[in-house]
Amino acid sequence: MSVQVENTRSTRQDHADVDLNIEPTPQLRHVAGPVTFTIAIGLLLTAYAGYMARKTGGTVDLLIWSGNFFLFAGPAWAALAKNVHRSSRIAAVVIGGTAAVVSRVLLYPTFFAYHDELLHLNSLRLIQERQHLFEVANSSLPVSKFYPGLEVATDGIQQITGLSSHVAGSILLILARLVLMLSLVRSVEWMTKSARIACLAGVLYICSPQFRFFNSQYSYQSIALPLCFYAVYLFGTSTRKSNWALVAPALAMAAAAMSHHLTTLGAVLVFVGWWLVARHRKTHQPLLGAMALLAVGIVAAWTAFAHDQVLVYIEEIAQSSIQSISNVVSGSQSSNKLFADNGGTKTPLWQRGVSVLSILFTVSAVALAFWRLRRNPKDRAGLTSAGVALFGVAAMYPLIPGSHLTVASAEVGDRSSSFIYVGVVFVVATWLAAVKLNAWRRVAVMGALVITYAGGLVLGGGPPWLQTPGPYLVAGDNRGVDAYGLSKAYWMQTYLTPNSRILSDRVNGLLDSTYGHQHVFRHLGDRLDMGTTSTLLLKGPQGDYDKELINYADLHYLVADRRLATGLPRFGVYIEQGEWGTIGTQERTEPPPLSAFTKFDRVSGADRIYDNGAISIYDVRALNDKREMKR
Amino acid sequence: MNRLEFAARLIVIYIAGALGAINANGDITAPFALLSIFLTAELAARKAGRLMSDRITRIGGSVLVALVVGGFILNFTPEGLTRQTWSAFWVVVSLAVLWWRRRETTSFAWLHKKPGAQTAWFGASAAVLLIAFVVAVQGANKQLENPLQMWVAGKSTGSIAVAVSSGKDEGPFRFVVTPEVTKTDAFDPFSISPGAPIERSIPVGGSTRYDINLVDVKTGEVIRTVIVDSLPIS
Repeated sequence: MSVQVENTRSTRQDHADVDLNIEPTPQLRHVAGPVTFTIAIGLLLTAYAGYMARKTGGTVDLLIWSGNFFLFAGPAWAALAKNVHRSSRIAAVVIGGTAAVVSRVLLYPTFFAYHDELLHLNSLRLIQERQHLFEVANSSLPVSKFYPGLEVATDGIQQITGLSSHVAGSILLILARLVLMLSLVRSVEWMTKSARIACLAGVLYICSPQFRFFNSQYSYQSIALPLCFYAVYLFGTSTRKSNWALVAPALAMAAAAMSHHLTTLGAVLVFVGWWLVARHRKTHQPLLGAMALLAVGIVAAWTAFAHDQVLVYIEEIAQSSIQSISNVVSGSQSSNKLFADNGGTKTPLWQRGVSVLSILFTVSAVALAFWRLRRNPKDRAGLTSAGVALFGVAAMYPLIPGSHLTVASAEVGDRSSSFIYVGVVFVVATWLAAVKLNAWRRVAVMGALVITYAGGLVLGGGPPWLQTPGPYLVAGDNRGVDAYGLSKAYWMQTYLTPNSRILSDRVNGLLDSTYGHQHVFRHLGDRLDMGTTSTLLLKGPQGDYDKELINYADLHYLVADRRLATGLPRFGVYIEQGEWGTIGTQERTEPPPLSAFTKFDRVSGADRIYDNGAISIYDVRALNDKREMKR
Repeated sequence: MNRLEFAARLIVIYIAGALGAINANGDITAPFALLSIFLTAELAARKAGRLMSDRITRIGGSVLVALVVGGFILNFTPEGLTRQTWSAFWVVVSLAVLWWRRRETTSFAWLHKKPGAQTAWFGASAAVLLIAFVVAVQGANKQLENPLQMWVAGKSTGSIAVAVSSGKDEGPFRFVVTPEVTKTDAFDPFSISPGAPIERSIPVGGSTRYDINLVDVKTGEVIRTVIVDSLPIS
């Protein structure tokens, strides 16, 4: 481990274009080109996997996992190898990390299909309709009204270039990922003065479960996280000693604060934690206190501005997490089904194996790094305050797998992992760089890295069917988005009055709001009791009660997807949490009857105005005279 | 900065801005706009350090921050976030950066370097990536072929307008109505092709609920159904 002198504001010597921790050798290899070629092969395999998945409707495991291997193996080898030119090593790792986003775009190259992506695309549509921010809330994600960073940046690219929202959004995601990887690698290089440690950290970060899927999708944390990393990078690597050095990182923090709530809270904790460690160790860190204060001030100010929505949103997450955990502990609710979805699909045994192994490898590596640090006082003394803070963050790693006890706490754990993993990768990378690697050990480490990467994909990618396109699956997120749903949504956009009030299921609701330009009822946005309202779609004929519910919700149209009667929902709900059949600790055991989706065929006043073979739309305006619900 | 380079940069900035201001198609605007964004960000980040990695980080990061913060500022203009305001914003930013860095000189020495092995690898990678995109788009387009759709296009006293469309050639079909109504040429068989929907006006009586079925002429199977309350005849 390199000895790191405290007071680590960058000096001109730090920018020397060689790795200061290896002996100068006459020939450093340039590997970026061949590694990029292997990554391109991985992308081609991924694209072909998507093509074949759509064409055959079957599984494409061999293709997709081959693609995954080629995407990772080259950068991992470049990070581990000896005698590699610094810029080549960095390029290989950064391109590898950026390719993860490109691989997602290749699976859905012409439209966004995932749940969160459609939510944010709808937020973008609402902003573009009004041409102003903060005016209209997305009923499915009201808090996004106050965190429009992703949407406003997409709008900027779209308006300046004239490209579509999907292309503009994809460009933004790729750019954000490039910034994230470079900021991470350069920040670690700044701290350790070693490009090899920095690139190892970059490769290890690629192994984190949220890297390939959650943080690559068109969702607000996908821009907030890179902006937070960029703020840390700007602060750390700045050579200025005056207060002007704070302007750029403060602007980056402001942009991040406008983009996501919990991510910027994580960045604030990073700056504050770093400052506290520096104070405790009595080391002088120029401007660190001021930066921490600025970060707190910026995020506090934005939170105050958004307090209407964000505090309610965070309170709901916290409450549901605590409730779920206490239900599991008390036995009134079963724990989260690991490696299985609600539709009965189980993750293959080998994938479960690698995901368990990846957790074991990570825990072992972190433990070994701590043990080595404990045994080497020189290394402890040489650690910067930032390094000490990162060791503290790494110690929180066990919280991430532990949080998967319940669905609600898993969400919180997964979101925190983006920051906790920074500590993990720093700790493991510094340990790995200090280990003497002969050829066999290098092979073993490479193998462990590949397994850890594969395990991360399994842990963060969800069930196997979620990771590729394919035939329709009931309430199956991206697999529920198909030509029937899309054509119905585009029909709505053409023939229905915009922002009509609609009750629709989870996937169709996203399509109807985003592409259909309609107002879809959701509990969060409309403050409706979904437990009763959902019976309009999930229960058979209820006579006059159905009409009462239509009035209670002030509905104009109902979207009835008959395919929902053919199976259980993949994520436990057909519409949203709290729907009929899932209230409290209830668990659904059978799908709704087909009569639930055709009950308005014989109700005078409800016209079936649209049919595409799978989905019907009922015009129920004639039944709606806005009476109050009696029951 | 020499005059030729200064002029070239100005031209790119103004063309991109003008195309945006007149709402030109993205196929024409995008190359100029993306070039303008890159040139501005690269010039702004040029003094970020000797290391290429730092300059690229700052290029990307400054674009992200400029878009988010710039959009926030534009929100407070009366026009808000439009194509014209965004184009004007980027023109202003680009001109400001161009003036700020007017003493910088751009080196074109890299143009004279002989392409080596690394260039060949990157070129091959770009070719493979292009093939990957073509394969991906082909697959996605296959998934999005419009199904056969039927809908109520309108209601008037004595008739209901019904429309049918499809993403491929299909048919022949015909309409069958329950309860039965007077037969007109609306009930003649027809086939559908991709493109504009076919619309027919179905004659109906008053104050009754009608099932209008789209039936496959060959098999007699009901393919699609709309169910409508007719308007009362006054």
